[in-house]
Amino acid sequence: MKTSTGSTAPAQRLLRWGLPLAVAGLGLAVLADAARLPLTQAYAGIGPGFFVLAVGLVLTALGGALGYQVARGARFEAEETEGADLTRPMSWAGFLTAAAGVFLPVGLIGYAGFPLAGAIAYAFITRAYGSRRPLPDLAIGLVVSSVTWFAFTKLGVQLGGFFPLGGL
Amino acid sequence: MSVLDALIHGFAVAAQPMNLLWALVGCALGTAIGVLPGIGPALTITLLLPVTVTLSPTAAFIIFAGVFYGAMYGGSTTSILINTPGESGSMITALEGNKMAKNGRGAAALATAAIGSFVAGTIGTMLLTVAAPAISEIAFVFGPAEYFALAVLAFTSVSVVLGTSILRGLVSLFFGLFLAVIGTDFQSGLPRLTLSVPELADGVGITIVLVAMFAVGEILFVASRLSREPQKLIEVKGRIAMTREDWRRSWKPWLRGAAIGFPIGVMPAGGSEIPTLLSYTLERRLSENPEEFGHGAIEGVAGPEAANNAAVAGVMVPLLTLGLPTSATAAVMLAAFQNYGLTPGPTLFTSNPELVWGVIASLYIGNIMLLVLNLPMARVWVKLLAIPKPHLYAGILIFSLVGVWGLSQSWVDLLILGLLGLVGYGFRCCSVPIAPALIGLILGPMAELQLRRALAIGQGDPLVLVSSPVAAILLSLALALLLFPLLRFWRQRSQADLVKVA
Amino acid sequence: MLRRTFISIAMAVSVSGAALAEPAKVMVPAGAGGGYDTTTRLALGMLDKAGLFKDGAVFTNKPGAGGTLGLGEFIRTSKGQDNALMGMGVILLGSIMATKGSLPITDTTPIARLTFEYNGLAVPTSSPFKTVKDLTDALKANPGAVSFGGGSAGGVDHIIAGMIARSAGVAPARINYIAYGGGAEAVTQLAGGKIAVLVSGASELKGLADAGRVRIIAVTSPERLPEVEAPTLKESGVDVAMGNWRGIVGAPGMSATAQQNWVERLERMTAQAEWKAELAKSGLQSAFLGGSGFGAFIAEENARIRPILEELGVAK
Repeated sequence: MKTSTGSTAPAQRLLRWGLPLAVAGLGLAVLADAARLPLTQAYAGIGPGFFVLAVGLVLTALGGALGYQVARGARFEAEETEGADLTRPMSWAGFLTAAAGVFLPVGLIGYAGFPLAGAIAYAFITRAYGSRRPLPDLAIGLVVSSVTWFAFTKLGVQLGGFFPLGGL
Repeated sequence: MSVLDALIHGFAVAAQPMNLLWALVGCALGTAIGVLPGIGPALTITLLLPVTVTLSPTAAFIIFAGVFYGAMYGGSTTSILINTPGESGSMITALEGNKMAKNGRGAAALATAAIGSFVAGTIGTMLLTVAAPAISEIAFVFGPAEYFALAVLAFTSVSVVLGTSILRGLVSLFFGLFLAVIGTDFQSGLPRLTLSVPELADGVGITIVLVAMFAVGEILFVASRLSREPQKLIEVKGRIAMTREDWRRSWKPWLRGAAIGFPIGVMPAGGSEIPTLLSYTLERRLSENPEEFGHGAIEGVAGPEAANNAAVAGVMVPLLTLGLPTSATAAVMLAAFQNYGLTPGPTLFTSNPELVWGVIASLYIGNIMLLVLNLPMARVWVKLLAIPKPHLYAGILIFSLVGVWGLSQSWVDLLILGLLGLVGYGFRCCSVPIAPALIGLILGPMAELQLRRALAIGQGDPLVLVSSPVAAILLSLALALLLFPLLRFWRQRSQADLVKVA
Repeated sequence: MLRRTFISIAMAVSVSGAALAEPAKVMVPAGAGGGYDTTTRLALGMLDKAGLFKDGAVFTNKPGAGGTLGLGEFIRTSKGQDNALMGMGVILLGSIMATKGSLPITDTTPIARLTFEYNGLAVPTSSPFKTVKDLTDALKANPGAVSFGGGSAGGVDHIIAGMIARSAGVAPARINYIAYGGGAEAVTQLAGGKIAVLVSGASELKGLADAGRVRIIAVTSPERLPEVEAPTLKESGVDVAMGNWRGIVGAPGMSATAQQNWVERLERMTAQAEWKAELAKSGLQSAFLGGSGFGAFIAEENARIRPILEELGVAK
């Protein structure tokens, strides 16, 4: 199963059913919350739960309609985007590296500060985009995010300490 | 003193060398701030307020006008070049503008945005000059029922014109409405869909969603499908920014954009998003080349950009004539007036003509200054696209982090940014358009709020929604918009579907 | 003047305060530009200008959950710090009651109440309500028919509307309250006759009242306001006086000496004419009340608004 068809088949199945399932699932989750909110309110007639219920119902219905389309053989293909090659199978390595760049600052930024967390995120993104020089990238990232930090801090945007762990 | 004399006098004040310098400072600062998502003109002017108290009122307002308009320009620049709208008002610009940039027509897109903003800003400012008191009456006509009708019109526009499939457009719109109901219910104070996370009590910030769906989604998507071919540099086609053909196709959208943007800007709950969306819808309907829409139609940049600048001028009307700030930025400007011991309102024109006309003249000057700055700059900005891809996308992420972290310094917000980025990735994988989700998020609360207000005032009688002529007309427009293309769309789609199924 | 600019810049560039000696660490539990933010920054700026506290101030804006997020962070991170302050006000008290899991305000050290802002009760010019009595009569007859506009649910405006209803013998929950996010939208809709009556900041109503578009039928202050020509609610037979006050609290466990120092500094600052003049520009009144007096005031206000918010269904 190391052939290219083998690795794309599950991804394609996921793609085919992923959207209808996700939309319908979200709809049901919204409905679960709507059930606990009052539907009506004095005078207006419609209460805080009304819109939630409507959104949940429509999302569930949309999920069903998408599922119907899939069952009839429709496929949702990815969008043409500049720089993306849709003929290739999805690269999990590229995706996960980029995702790491996006999610690492969540935990890091409070302790390491904006410049350092930004530099690490920067290095991950450049790697996801094919660069193989992590150290120079990290250095460039540190320069870019430090300059950004200084510039916007000077403008009055609060970006936290430069390096909170080091007490700066 | 006649209006013209007053205006000429205002210009004489605004054109003094020092004041021109202040205009330059304001415009440069505004543009810099505008490119950053989340850091808008309201925040900038707030931070500048204490610094400007030492200046003369005229100088201060010249700076503010520069910041105000400059932020709009800056927002569209990033929309066009890196598909990351700096302000929600320039989101629609990204739809066609970014496609144009990727076709090598970035300079033309920036130029039509800049000139269109100038034209519309000037028209708006002129209307402000001659007819402000009369126009401000629009504000009083719009009540809950009318605003609700306007939101419905915007929703039908978005479902009809955006994306390739109505079904997926609706998925996106309702995902946005889902995000919109998260938070504390305004009328009852009950938490909705907050999962007991205190950070969600105020809802999901528009900035976070804007940055996550546009920028982070794209970073993830392109990384997962990275083309192995050597990066081809986007060449800038054509020597001058705008060709004769571009001019021919742009001027009408500019005027129509101004006509839509200005009155909506005057309304207290109008905002800059509805006019850009309505202008885009209108241009798409009227275009001789509808097939170009979605692939970089210049009309789709010219119209919305004109509309959002005209809306900015519109906001000045109730501020100057009634003392009513109808946007966050206007509220800060009102505070600035009060800092000088001035009360905007009906009497301001007679009691402080110098200042009022100075402000109006400075709006003109700000527009001209931005045009002069931005037209040559367009060529420079476009060079941004020549940055090697790894560094361009990494830089976009840093930018996104500043926008989100700078607002609240909350790691929860960064987590939401990442999660919604994954959603944006999913949307791209299935060709679900992104803009409807943003429209749903921005206008959803307004639609719900105004509907509930209208019904509460009418004590539950649904007929209040169509009882005023304005509301009835807007709702019929929405219905027509939905019905006509739906008929045509269905015919086309049933054929297209058959092909796909086969 | 030049010095003032310089200080302002130093304050705007809050993070780079490292060069100054032990600056005050000021939490603002709301976004930049709002009421808490402007009042708190103004107070610290005036302290500096008057030479009462010249070591600078580092501001942190932490909006969210009606200010309770900022309050929580302040209580958790500033224990025992003599230079940590937080801007707050009556709206925060209401939010604390409405937010499950919020830390209580009693964890902080009361420093001083600084300002009061009073509200007005306005109707469209063409309205049949000439006095508060006309309004309460209409409320008694059919509360649903009186669309009662004001700020967000649970805020001061809502509390005032509830108090007026209760004094008229109508259950607060029965008023047809229409919540608005911004004063501008509410007051234009009032002038356009879309709602029957509006509670809003007196200064916000004044512009359209002067233009003859709306009529202020009462103010919510205990005494008449000099700039508004309208009786107080009390004079109109409704025994309600309520205003939107703002103040400053200190870190939990702040030393008694430090608390006393801050109270004295603020007392001297608020006695200056320039402070009052600054406040008047935005329709605020100086209302200094320091130390334990402020602590007792907070307790009273809590006791006063809790039953109303419970009846309105906002407090849990």
